[in-house]
Amino acid sequence: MAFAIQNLVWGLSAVLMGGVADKWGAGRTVAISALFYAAGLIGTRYAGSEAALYFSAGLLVGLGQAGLTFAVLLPVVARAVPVEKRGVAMGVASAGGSMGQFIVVPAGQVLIDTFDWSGALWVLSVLMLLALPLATRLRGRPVQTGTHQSLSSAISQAVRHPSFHFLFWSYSVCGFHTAFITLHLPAYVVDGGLKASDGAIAIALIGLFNVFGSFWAGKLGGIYSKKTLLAGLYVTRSAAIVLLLALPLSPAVLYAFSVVMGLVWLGTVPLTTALVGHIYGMRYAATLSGIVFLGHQLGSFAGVWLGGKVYVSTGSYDVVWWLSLGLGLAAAALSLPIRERALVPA
Amino acid sequence: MTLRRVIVSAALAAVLALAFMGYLRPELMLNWDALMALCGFG
Repeated sequence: MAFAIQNLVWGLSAVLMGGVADKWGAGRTVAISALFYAAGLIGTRYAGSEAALYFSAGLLVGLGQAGLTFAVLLPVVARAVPVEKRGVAMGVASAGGSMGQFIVVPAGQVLIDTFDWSGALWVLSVLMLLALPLATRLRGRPVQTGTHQSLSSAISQAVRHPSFHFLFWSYSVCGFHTAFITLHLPAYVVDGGLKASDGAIAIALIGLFNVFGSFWAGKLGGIYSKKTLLAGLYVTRSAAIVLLLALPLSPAVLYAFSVVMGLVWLGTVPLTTALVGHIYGMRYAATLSGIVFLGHQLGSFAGVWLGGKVYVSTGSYDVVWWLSLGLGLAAAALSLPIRERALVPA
Repeated sequence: MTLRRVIVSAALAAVLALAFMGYLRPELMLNWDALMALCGFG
């Protein structure tokens, strides 16, 4: 329940944190968020009741994540470099975030083995506080470019533009896929007769290849049409799911699926964020990316919830896999009509 | 390729390989097994 709250708070407050970053600068947003995150980790250590756990691991960590993850940071990275280098810069930033996600699981296990879970939470909270001195390097606020535009008119312009809705709903499919697969793939694997360790290796392979996939998605997005690449990523996900369902489940099939899925895992993030900045301008890119990210989190919630619900009802994940396949194709179909033309000067 | 780039690439590969091996450690596998058992699988 604490993690469900965390994900919901993360999605809802990404809009708020994006607004704070656009108004007062990313440095302050990162610093405040790091404090929330560290307080949440320490609070989790001392939580003596369910309510305290929901507050610390759910609310505080969720607020921290909102200001420290892609929706806020990628627009900052994009603003900091010339237009022609944005693709590579966002690819590097996405790959860095992906690498952190990949490393934190075994690193957390080592910390737990060494310091016990309570010491591990302390170490992680101290690591989080290292973001404070780093945040001082993120100076300045977004500069106004072109015509003057208020935040409310930027949001109003975006929500009246069909492409914003295409981005929102295709990103929700990304959330659906990643959450469903992360949480339910290991169970699906065991249910299919493989070992739990095969599920662990599958998740590790997805994490490993995601580092390269997210970098290349960002880089290629600076050269080729971002919406076409985005559509390609979603079609590839669907193709990987077809292979997983069509072939008899074996470690080789599972690992091949994981490698392909890893290559297209979070490549959607730099492409979607870059499209938001490209179409609606960089001035309010963090806020608008935060709104689109809310779609991602709604999809995540649906993926986790539906995966469990359908398994309990039918005794199998097949329905959700077929749904994931269809949603991947739908997300590709939503990506292609996006009008990749700047409404506001970047 | 410059020497600096070679060193950085080698360091990156080492970190990624170490992290991947970390997923294969018995302690982590034990946690996966425990998690699956808690969820009623295996």
